[in-house]
Amino acid sequence: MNHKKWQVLAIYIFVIILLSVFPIILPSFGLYLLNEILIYAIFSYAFYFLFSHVGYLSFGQAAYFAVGAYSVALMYKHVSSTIWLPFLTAITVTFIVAFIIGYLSVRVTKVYFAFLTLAFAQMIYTILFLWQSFTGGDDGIPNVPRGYLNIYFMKINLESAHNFYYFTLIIFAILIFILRKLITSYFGLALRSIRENIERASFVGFNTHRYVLIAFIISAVYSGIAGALQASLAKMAYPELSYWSTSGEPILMTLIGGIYSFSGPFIGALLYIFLKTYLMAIIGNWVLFLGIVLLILLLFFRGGVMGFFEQKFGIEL
Amino acid sequence: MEAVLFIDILYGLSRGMLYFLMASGLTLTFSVMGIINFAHGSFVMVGAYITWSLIQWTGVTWPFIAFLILSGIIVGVIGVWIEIFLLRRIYKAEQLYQLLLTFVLILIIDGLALEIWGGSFRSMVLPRYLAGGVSIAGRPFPKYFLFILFSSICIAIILWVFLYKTKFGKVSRAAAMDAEITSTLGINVSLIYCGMFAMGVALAGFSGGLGLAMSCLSLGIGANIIVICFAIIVIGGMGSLKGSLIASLILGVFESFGDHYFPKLAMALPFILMSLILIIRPQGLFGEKE
Repeated sequence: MNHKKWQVLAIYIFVIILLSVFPIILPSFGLYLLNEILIYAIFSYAFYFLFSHVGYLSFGQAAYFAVGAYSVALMYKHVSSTIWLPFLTAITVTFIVAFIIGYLSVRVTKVYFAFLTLAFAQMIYTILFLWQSFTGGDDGIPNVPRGYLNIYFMKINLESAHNFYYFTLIIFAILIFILRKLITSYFGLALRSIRENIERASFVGFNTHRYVLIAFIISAVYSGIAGALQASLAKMAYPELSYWSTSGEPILMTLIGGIYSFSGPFIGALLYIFLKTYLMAIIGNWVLFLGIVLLILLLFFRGGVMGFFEQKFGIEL
Repeated sequence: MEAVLFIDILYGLSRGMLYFLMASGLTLTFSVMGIINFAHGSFVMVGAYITWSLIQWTGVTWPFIAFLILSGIIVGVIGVWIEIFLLRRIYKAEQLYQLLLTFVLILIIDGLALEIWGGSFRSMVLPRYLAGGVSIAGRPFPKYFLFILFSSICIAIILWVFLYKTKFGKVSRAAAMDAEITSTLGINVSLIYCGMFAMGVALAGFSGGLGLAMSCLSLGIGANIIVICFAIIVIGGMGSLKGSLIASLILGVFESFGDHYFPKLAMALPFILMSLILIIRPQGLFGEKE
């Protein structure tokens, strides 16, 4: 058992080292892709946390993704050129939005929850789309700067692709570490008891609504941070970020990677973005390909790619 | 003033009845099988494309009504295959998996539609007897909307007779109440499931041809439709056909007024209504408590 734990730790450290060293040799397009993979991995972890550990399927994660993106974009445009204020605003605003939506949504379960989150996300989309004077409407907010990171006397320009990549990597590592701690903590156990049986969990004495709400807000804030990073990376924010197809992406990524494995969302994001970029040019009809792959996964390998590996090698990543 | 009001209501009703046709298939499959078909909107889209193709192949528009029915049947047959090969495997699984499976179906259907019909916009040619307008209360009103209103009411009546007056309808309502006990009575429940899914999908196919004949056809239109359908079944109460009917009419009329008086807000209306209902009455207008 202990031996396996070390193995897992070794693999994690190896991946982190790989992620830090690899960019040195990558061309700029590859670097951009890897950056995007990290961002979407954060987004997928947000979905994974709520789905796999609390049993709530959210079809509206894009709402927080977009709220994070717009917060950062607007703050950079109008207020600040360093990253602290925009990112703190993004976290605060997603927190508030998630609190309101979550408070209303966690009172219902399962299928209704999926619908309700979808409806709220479409509402956010409509607001972003129609509030021309504030959000730029259909055009969104173009030319978002990436800003500066200043710690004490250091001032790091994030416009540089490498600097921004390492900034994303650090945030990714911190967020994943926190999530891992959360999942293995008492709080995570309580959430899984809610997933297994919400009634029994409440009999044991958990305030289940509060637990689910907290998990929902954590998931939303993760999505918000991912959105904030994405707006900086792509240098723009636009209404489609909150559209329901955007909510679908972390779901598909997590399904590919594996809904039962902690490494699932990351592997899923990696495969999804990599395949999408390189296969679209070859096979053309990417949507059909994706659909067939996912259908096979859902019918025969519900644990996704990582579930398959874990079974084969008897190791839990 | 009164004439404007009347016209608005008439628009709203025909729109609402169309929504009902689209949502009724979803309600039907949910009430009998307990499956939420995320791909329902995509079937609506496929129905519209098939109608378009039928018009293209034959080169005539006059048998438009026959084309609509035929595309409903074709989509229904596709539904039978999907039920047999995919859905059957997953009835026993958790509800969330069923949701995910039908979500994946959207991708496959959209991908196939792209292969077959291509990505460009298509628009239909209406037969002469349905184009143009008539004068109602001294104002012009498109004939086609009257046709939508009339044919949806016909379909709704047929649906009602089918569910409440025929043996298959009675049996499938029994299966909806308790599948296990129904099957102990010697009734082939899996056949009923198959038939019901096919029927729900066929309704989608029919309503697709009917509803999208006036607008531009494009890929991804299914997504917009499914979101509206969800709003309707949540407002009306899941699995309640009566609820879907009333919710559709409310939504149709509200939207019709919304387009007229506050066009900016009209886009968000379904979601505002849906959220309000879920907050005040989570089980919907006619739904039963969990």
